[in-house]
Amino acid sequence: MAEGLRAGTPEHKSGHVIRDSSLGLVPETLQPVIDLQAAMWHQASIGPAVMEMLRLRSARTVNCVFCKSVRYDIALADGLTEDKVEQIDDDFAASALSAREKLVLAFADLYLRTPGEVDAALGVRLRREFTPEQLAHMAIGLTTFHALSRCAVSLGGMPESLPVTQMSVAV
Amino acid sequence: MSGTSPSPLDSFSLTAALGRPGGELARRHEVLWHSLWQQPHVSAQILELCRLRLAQLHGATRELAVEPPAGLCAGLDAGKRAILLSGNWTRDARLSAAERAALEFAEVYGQDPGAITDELAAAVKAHFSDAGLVALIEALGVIDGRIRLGMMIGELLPPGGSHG
Repeated sequence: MAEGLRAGTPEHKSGHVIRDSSLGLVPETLQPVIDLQAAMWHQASIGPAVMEMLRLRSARTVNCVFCKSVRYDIALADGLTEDKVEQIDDDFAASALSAREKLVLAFADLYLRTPGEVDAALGVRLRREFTPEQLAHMAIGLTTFHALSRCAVSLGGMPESLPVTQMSVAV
Repeated sequence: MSGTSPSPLDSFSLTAALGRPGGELARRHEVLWHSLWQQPHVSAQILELCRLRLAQLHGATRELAVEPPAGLCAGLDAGKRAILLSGNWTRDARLSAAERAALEFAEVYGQDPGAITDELAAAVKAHFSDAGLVALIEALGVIDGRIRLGMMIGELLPPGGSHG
């Protein structure tokens, strides 16, 4: 890790964390990314705490140091605690997380590891616990976070570690 | 697959499956999806080659069988599609250096983005500039994600995306 960033950043700085990143070099996709993220945090039927669990599970699987270090304040306000965050690891099934939270992470692992192998029993449990709207929102949130984490890793310049940092959603 | 009624989708039919239950989030995801195919830095033809390669890596047979809607990407040259699907793209001189650079990047991205090297990124930038590298990475991420969702979400959402 810790090679240099593989793409530049916009010359003009706006103070917006996404606009000032390399993503700002592609204005055609920049606003769609920002608008989608805003909707995921503020309009998703599953709420910010669940959204953050999906984001962190993806970040830890992809090993994006930047993404792993961030905690969105909107998720903390929604009840996510650092104690819960620590349990979002490969042993989450045996953790003290609630059954619903474990299902959220099982959904994430299905997407992240074996999307072509939907276990019938897991499918039944997911459909029983979540509405179609909630499942769709979990899917859109997870796939977007996953793409952004992979984007950060692909662009390089990743440090070995970073301290946990609270952030607000950039809109 | 152990589901009782497999309903594989693909990155294009996903639009209808997510649209109704997903509401505003699905609409915004579609805006991003379309913007990636329409941005000017990396052609839709090259993204289509990369979509097919990512589908191969996922073993996504339905994804490999479909072609993008005309409004998203004008049809890929049949010969290039055949080259990609044959598995001989690394040796076939009918692919341009730019197409090869994008595909070589996609090949590693699809398996482990942490294994991408400065050399792979530099080869992409030599053809597409810094903005092109970013656009390609963004597109690969969304394409990869829609392939994954296509493989699984049909098992979880009601047919046609209806509630109930």
